[in-house]
Amino acid sequence: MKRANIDKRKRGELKVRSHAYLYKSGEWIEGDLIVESSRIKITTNRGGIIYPLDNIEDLRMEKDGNKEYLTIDIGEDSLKLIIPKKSLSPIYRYLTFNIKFDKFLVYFLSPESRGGVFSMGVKWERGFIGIGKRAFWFLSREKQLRMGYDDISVIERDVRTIGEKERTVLVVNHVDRGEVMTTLILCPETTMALIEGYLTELTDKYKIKGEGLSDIEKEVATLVYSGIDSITIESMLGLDLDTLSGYCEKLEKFGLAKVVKVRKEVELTPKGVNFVRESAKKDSGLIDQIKEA
Amino acid sequence: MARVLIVDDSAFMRNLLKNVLFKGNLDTVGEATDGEDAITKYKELKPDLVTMDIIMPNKDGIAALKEIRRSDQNAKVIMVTAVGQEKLVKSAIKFGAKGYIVKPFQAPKVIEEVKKVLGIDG
Repeated sequence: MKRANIDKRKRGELKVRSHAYLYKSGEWIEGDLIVESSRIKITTNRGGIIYPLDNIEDLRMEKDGNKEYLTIDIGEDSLKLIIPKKSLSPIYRYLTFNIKFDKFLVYFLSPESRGGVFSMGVKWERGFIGIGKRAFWFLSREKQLRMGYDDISVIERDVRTIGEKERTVLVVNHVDRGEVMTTLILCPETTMALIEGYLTELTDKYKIKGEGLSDIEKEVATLVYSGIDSITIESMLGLDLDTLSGYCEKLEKFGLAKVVKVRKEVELTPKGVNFVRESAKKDSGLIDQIKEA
Repeated sequence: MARVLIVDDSAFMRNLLKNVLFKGNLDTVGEATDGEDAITKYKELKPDLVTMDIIMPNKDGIAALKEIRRSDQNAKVIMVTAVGQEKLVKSAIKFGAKGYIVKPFQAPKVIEEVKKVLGIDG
């Protein structure tokens, strides 16, 4: 595998060249990827394609079996590329800053927590947030984080101590490959209101509207959130298979969960993630309120 | 096998954590239902690690953390609290907590964190 060549041209034009595989007509074809300051060029032995960079609408890493590839949405087209690891990072970073989106200067901290566990030592970064067509981005020199709009479950204001001051921040919760991640945004009030308004509209479909779950159904939702399998849930709550299936069906009916395995194994949807968080907050759970029997 | 003391006033939460730890090959050596109980059980059981809820009756988790750390400077305590109380993180860290978990949580990350604090690989 060749290493990426990154050089500054005379006119300050960044150029990245790398060996790559392009997915075309059901197969991966070997070729060369050249990223110039204003366009992306891919050449294979079956010809070449050129796209202007300012037409990029989205990009993301995806997986198919053991193959991890970069998908770039450019206008109506979707390019799939396998790029050697060493070249991927500079290419990915360069392309993310060229996605078509509205950018706002902010400070962000990500992740504040992952799967509920606080990240120690993560620092606030100065960067941008980008509001794109299909995703919300956090961009800094070090990080380029993508949050697909369908994966964002919660957006709310909260207070955090930053330095010695109590500051209002925006808390964004999203699901990243099955893990619930919390990211904080610190920015001026006008920017905050704008981001909040936009994301609140997008996550409106996950709003909890008095789903009317019983305590035991909330417990099932919390256990699913925690990653407990259905056999363990049965034994923990003293339920038989049919009763648990009934509860899971109710979670499905409310859009809180979806079936992921044949044996009625479910995982929470972003709406379900939001629901469990809200339950935990309001009552301080189910969680803190389900005291000693 | 590492021995963990779970401190939480919610039976549901203790049961959940016990199952999560079991999944990670960690042994729950005891359970306590408030801060006072935690201090007594810590002295009695000498666990390798404590998961400590913050909001509890009688004595809260931060007060119990302080006392446990006063009696054993090497005590490894991970604080656990409900979402919306993240601002307590700083004081917990100040008093010697080794980690911080927000409810609701996800099992793999909790196992990872507990093992990290215990210095166990994998």
